Amino acid sequence: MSQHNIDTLYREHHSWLHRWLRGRLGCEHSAADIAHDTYLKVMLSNSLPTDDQPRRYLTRIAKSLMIDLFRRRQIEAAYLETIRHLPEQEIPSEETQHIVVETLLEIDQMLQALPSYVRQAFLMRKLDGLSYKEIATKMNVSVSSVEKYVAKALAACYLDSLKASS
Amino acid sequence: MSSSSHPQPEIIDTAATWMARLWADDVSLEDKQACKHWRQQNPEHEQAWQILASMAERFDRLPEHAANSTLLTATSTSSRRQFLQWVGIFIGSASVGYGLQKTQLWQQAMSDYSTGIGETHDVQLADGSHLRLNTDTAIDVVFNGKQRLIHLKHGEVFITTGHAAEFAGQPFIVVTAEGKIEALGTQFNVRQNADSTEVTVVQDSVLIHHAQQKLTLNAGERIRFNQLELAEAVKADPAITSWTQHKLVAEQMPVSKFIDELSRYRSGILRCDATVADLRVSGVFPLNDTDKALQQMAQALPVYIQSRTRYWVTVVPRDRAL
Repeated sequence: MSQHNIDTLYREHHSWLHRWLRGRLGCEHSAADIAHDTYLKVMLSNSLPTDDQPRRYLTRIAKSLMIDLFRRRQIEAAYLETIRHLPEQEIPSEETQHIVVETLLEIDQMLQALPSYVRQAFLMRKLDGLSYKEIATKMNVSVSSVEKYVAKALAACYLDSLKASS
Repeated sequence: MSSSSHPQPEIIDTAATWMARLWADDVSLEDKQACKHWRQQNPEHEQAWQILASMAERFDRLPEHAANSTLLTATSTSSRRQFLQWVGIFIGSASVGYGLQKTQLWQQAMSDYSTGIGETHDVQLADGSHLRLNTDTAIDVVFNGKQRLIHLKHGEVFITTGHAAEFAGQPFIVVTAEGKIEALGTQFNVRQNADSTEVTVVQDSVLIHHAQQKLTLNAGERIRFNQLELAEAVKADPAITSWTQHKLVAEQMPVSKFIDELSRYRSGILRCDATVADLRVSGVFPLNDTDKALQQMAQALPVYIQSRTRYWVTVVPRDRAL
């Protein structure tokens, strides 16, 4: 990709993309961040729009980033709600909070391609420490199904790590 | 580990099956020994096992207070639903997991609605509301769980609000550049002009929010407001929504206004000469065929339609026609 092309893509469409995002997100900062990340992603992926619709190409990337942002906010909100109920001396430092949210997002990302029941069974085993039998009762499935779901989730985590490292 | 030495998928699956077995409530000594034996059979087996063990270890990094599956599962279900509400799209299948069909999800969910010049478009929202978009219109729909927001960016929209039970208590609000219109169980028309908003209520009423003021507008009334002022409500012309039938109903309408209206529905330049601007025109004209509408007007009035091209048309006095 030539420097010239990415320059053109930026010059001609960046402020449009920023406005488009601002209109959707209603937030100046998030709009600026996502517009920036969109161009970053275009540069890193080293592929320019092949068709004659660069704006459609840009919004496609921006939309996936918006979904990631939305997911991050969801998880942050759920976590903040959790620690709100902790006794004051147990409230983790901001740094710890940050690390926890990043870890949760990482886990969420690893499991994102799985059907919800598989995710649920796996997370109940691994995070809640429930036995297969307890999970089976809660989910109203057989114990052997739970074991299969857990195996399936583990394999998915593995495959996700391969994708991430390649 | 170099990427060239990834284990076969079957080996990964087997390793995962073994690990899930070891986590079982009824894992036996024989199971453990068999697993150990499998790992020792082949270096690839052991490698896959080690990687899988380090994956699983990530979950143990969470402090106790955050080791709670609902942080990810509760939000994952509501995330999908809220996300769809956020963008105002209803997808029939409730069993789509977050991310599972990410691609389709965002393609369907993120489409905003717009029409080109001369087009109309019908939109059905998740709450049962029906929107009809007039020519050259763009809207964003945001259902955020608290409110149902329609952002009218430009153009005109005719709205029949829906009353799906799950949206009860969530106000339905149209946002324009000059203010907000809150539906009170209603049918109404909102038009975004260059620097003003025009609202006409057909059924029931709406609440206009303008700066610090609030005003109820009832069926049969029309109001106009710009950034600075809210005009008095006036009796609405019932023909104001005739555009939904692709018709322009004119009653003693100045030609200048008639031309302004028609030009919303066609590309290019459409103007009238100052000397004919104040002539009056009456009748029912097709909005989906503006050439025909112009010819129809030219038959009734002493004017001539001068077309240099399809995109540059001027209405001139007939005696000045070339």
